[in-house]
Amino acid sequence: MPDVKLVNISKRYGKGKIIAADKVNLEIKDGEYFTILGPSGCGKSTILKIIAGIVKPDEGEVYVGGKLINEIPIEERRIAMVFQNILLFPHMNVEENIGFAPRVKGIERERRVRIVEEIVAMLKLTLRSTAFPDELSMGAQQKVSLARAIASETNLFLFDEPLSALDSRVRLELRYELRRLVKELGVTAIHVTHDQEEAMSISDRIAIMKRGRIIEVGSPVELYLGPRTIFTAHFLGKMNFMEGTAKELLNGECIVELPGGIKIKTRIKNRFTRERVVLAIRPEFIKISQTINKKYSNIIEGEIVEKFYTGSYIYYKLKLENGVEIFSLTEAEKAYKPGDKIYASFPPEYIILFKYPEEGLEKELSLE
Amino acid sequence: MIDIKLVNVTKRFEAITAVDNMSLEIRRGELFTILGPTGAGKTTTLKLIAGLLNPDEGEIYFDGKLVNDLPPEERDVGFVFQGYALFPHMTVWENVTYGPLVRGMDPEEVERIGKEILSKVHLLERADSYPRELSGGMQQRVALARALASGSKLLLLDEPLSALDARLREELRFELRNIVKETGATAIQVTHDKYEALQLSDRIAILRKGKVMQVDTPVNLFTKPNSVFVANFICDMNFLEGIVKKVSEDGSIVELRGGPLVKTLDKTHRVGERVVVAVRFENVKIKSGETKREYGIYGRIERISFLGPFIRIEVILENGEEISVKLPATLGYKFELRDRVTIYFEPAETIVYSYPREGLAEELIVE
Repeated sequence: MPDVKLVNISKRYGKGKIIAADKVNLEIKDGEYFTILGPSGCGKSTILKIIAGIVKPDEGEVYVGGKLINEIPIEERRIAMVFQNILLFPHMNVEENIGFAPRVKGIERERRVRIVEEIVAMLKLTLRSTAFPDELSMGAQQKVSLARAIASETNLFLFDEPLSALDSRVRLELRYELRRLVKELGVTAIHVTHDQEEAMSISDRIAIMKRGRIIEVGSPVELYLGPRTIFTAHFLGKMNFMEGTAKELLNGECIVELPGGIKIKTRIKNRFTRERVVLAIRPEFIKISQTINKKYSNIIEGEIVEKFYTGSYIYYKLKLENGVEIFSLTEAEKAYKPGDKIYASFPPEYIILFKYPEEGLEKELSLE
Repeated sequence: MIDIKLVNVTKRFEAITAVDNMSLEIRRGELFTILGPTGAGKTTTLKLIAGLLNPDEGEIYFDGKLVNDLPPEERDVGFVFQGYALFPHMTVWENVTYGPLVRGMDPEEVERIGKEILSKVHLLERADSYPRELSGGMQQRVALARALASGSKLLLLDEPLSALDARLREELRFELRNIVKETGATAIQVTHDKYEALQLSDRIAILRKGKVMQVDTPVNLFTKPNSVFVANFICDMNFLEGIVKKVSEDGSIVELRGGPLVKTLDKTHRVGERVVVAVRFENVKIKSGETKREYGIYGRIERISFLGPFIRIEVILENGEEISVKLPATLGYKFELRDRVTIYFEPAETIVYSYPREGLAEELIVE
């Protein structure tokens, strides 16, 4: 069964100057939809290529189904790959492209036709099977390459940014299709992307990668709500970060002092004492109102600086009384305008604290 | 800062009409976005304005002056087109400051503008790099910075953020509007990303097969899309087929396929007419369990996707149709796969369209 295990995998390029993978350890379970998420150049595609056998690691072991496969050549690994750049045979029609692997395997014509028909039905492909790739839209072409991967009857799928070249609407549609297929077929999938929403919406678990290292692994909800690192918190979606100092404890819960002497209650117990910290809270958890609402705690006065309309929700840029600028995400019905005075409340249960990074906050927030 | 006018512009490529009798007016200083699916004619429109293509028919005016015969270099346009490369033998800094220097701008002023714009696209540290040393996303940001620094009165931006990682694109989206506004130029942006369009634009034109479907402000376009196609493109929208059952003073009742009833405020359609009821994902109300309520529809949860701030739930209704619901994540955690639920809509949050002549499926094709 295709569980995948990487043990201390390292890979350097350019005479050792570029570290694409730095002692990477990962365990991917059988039947899991697993995503490696990170910015361009973080090494995520290299990991995929090492699993596929396209790239050899400098160090470390790759196990599939408990078997060491380092020395097994690419064609014997029984792994299907789908890339961002769609690679269909241009001189073959849809049916021939999908039926390519069964034909190479010597499966007789009648059964081949049945396999192709089944896959076409499964993918709800509504195209002519005699059409050639260049007659199809990008989305349809990518569906055909997916169909071709399925026809190879392997049980480990590697997806390297399979949706990145597509129109945003088509991309959304295909996202769900990918997950549905993987789950229906009962196969293991490893998906590489830089798109955090894509990763969160399709994955069982996500590994966050930065500069050749795995930063954190967890389920989408775990990583989004309880990130253990500033980078994860920042990369998985919009997050407000404020520098502060951990002060005294109240019933064992940490109180943080922000610039301007503002004190903020948290629900974080006994982890910080009298040290510099970074306080983080997501825009959707900040409540804003024009009068003080006694139900709320951690209220700070501020002003609307800017609004960004996104349909049913609006992002507001707020300037707090201590000069700090943050974002809130609010339903569009309660519309404020720049210049409006407001009260922003920070529910303690949604506040996350991090140790102040050694190299400074700005460096930690770099997305490249 | 100039205004632009397109009058009955048509552009054909052999058998394909890329731009079809298009008329558009773009106001002075406006940040105008052209939004539409691949192949709608967005980039062609931009290239016609830039002068990189000539229209087969129609006129293009800058500030009331016909520019059809004016070559691109005399149109004073700063642009970012996909595939139009940076000067490879110049550093990032030289690329960005080339325009202002050629214009004869004061060197101190050039220095200030270069620094300001490069820091806004997060590339000041790479000022001494050559384009080949940068990633695709960085090169695109240099191209954007070069256009912004050019001092041109018209900026044409073809998917200016498309080569960027999703997360960085999101970040820059918040800044791009301010950067463009500070240049004082009129700007026309092409994108296929609705959030980019909604967040950045003063007005948006939605294109389909070379034709303008609707031009309006983001708020108006989002709240009053004039057709199924526009609604599908700009909103996350459910579309349900039905027949008008009853029309009264306070609206109408539509019977969906298989019998469920929907109450709407619409009075523009007649009894017996075939219609499409549209409801935004985020306006669908969802309750646990099958609870009796007027105009409630039962269903079963088929899929749940976590999107960060939101959770998206797909429900198979009792009539077999699928409907999507978008909830703030904090309200969505309690739902689980295969849960039975009750769905309903607020009448004020439904939009009723005539059934499209070529069928609903055809209207919803986005590629």
